[in-house]
Amino acid sequence: MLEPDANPSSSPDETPLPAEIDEYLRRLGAGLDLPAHVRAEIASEIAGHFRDSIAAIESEGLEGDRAAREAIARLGNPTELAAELISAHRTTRRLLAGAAGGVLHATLGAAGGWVLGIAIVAAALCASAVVTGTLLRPPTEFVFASLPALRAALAGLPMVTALLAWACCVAAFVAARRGVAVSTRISRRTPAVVRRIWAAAGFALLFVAAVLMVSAPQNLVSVLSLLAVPFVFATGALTSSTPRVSLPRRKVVAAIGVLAILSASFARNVPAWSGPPPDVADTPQAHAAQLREFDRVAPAWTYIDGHPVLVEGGGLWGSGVITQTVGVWDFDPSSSGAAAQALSQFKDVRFEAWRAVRFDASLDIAEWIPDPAYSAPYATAPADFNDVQFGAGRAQAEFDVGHVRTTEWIVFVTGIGPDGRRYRLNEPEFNMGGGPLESSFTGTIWQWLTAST
Amino acid sequence: MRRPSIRTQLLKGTTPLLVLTVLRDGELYGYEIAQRIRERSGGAFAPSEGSLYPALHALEAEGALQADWRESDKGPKRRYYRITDKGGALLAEHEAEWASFARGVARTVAGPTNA
Repeated sequence: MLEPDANPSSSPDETPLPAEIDEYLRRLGAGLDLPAHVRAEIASEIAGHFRDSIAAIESEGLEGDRAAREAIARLGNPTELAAELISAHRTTRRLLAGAAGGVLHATLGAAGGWVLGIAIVAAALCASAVVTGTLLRPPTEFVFASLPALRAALAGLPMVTALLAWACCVAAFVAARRGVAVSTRISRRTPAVVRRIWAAAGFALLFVAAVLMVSAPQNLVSVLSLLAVPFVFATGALTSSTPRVSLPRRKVVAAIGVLAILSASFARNVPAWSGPPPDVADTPQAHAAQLREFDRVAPAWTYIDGHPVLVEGGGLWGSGVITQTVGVWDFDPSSSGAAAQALSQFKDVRFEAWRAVRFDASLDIAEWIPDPAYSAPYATAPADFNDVQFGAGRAQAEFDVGHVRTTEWIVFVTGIGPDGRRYRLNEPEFNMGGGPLESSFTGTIWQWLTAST
Repeated sequence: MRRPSIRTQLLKGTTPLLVLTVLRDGELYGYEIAQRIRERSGGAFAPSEGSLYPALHALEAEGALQADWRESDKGPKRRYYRITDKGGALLAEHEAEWASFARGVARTVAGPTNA
């Protein structure tokens, strides 16, 4: 369809309209609470009508202002005409078509915005990794430093959730703007009303989805990032008609912001390059202090030939499950070893999963202890050393900790000794080498908010 | 307050029928439609100009009419309306309804008939 002139009385090939007619058209336009392109069409059409009408009236003998006033009288009150035109345009059919068209274009916009968001996040991620690597390492090593930084940032699954949420923010913004634009155009409803409806409906829908339906690895950053999605959607909807002024400046500010957040995240994961870390953990004093923390929850059973009864058999962790395996120190098939005989004296031998905290945050060492804030393990599991599945003399336990906000764990084995006291049967060092067993909360935001720590 | 005449009330209700009828013969723009109705009625009546455009836009929204901006014979751009298939079906429906209504009114006005 050919678009009408923006100003019906300003077209160079048309005669200017009398001032009364211009005023009539201005009042008509003011009363037409319809999208701009529809208002322009109606104004052009009515202006054309006035030209024909005035020409006809003049041919009947009336001249100048009188002809214009007669033409206006024939068309009637501009406010009433505007009201009737609005009513004619706002049909249920157009409302439904506008809603459907808006949803369709919002979906397409979301798909495009998602791809754009992923590209932006990926680019920002790589740039931040390089920036962080450059800042934290000598310039000659920044390339090598950037890769571990990237790996370290992505290793935490909640970080992936946060990054995807950021891409969702871009998708939500694009979807909202396209949805509002198409809905307004098709439904002929007031843009301000359409914007508010889209903002409210989209916010409610996305908020419910983000809080109650999206189940993913979570931490505080991912929760805040997911909660940002409905807010960004509402912002996109409410600002859909805002002229795109200073867009380059906004982009620069947004890019710097994203880079800063990501760089800070990387910096948290990548230690500054200052030579080998001090080996504080191996000092006898530090080791003894650490053991005292373990003895607080369960004293160690007397060593046999300098060894604990049990030794580490390996630890595994996924997003929400931690697994620990232990073995009898001197196990042999005849169970004639001293450790095996000692183990047979214990009752209620069990794995205990304790929340872990850094032994001393001021020390640059990766040593962890059971969280002093807790007097009991989070969970226990029986230790069965006769289960053929893991091999004789070995036992394994698996703990589902995916619905607890705690992300660091220490698992060891205890048993009730001959004197009736519960003892720790293995050294804390068994899972100290690479830090504690790690987990991440997996669930919805609501579950995260209501979960125990 | 002056009571609206029967003609005025009838014209308001029959504007869509009159518009669709004159557009059956070919596409026209708003002012032409009013003039064509006036001509075909022998100058007896024409729809109020103020109600013509809302009726045209309502029929367009309904899908009975389609509109295009084009240069007119007289020069400037005009919004030409043409009837669609749906408009043709609607016209047939309106015609049947009007015929039935007109017969009923005529019979009523003529008074009781002798069987």
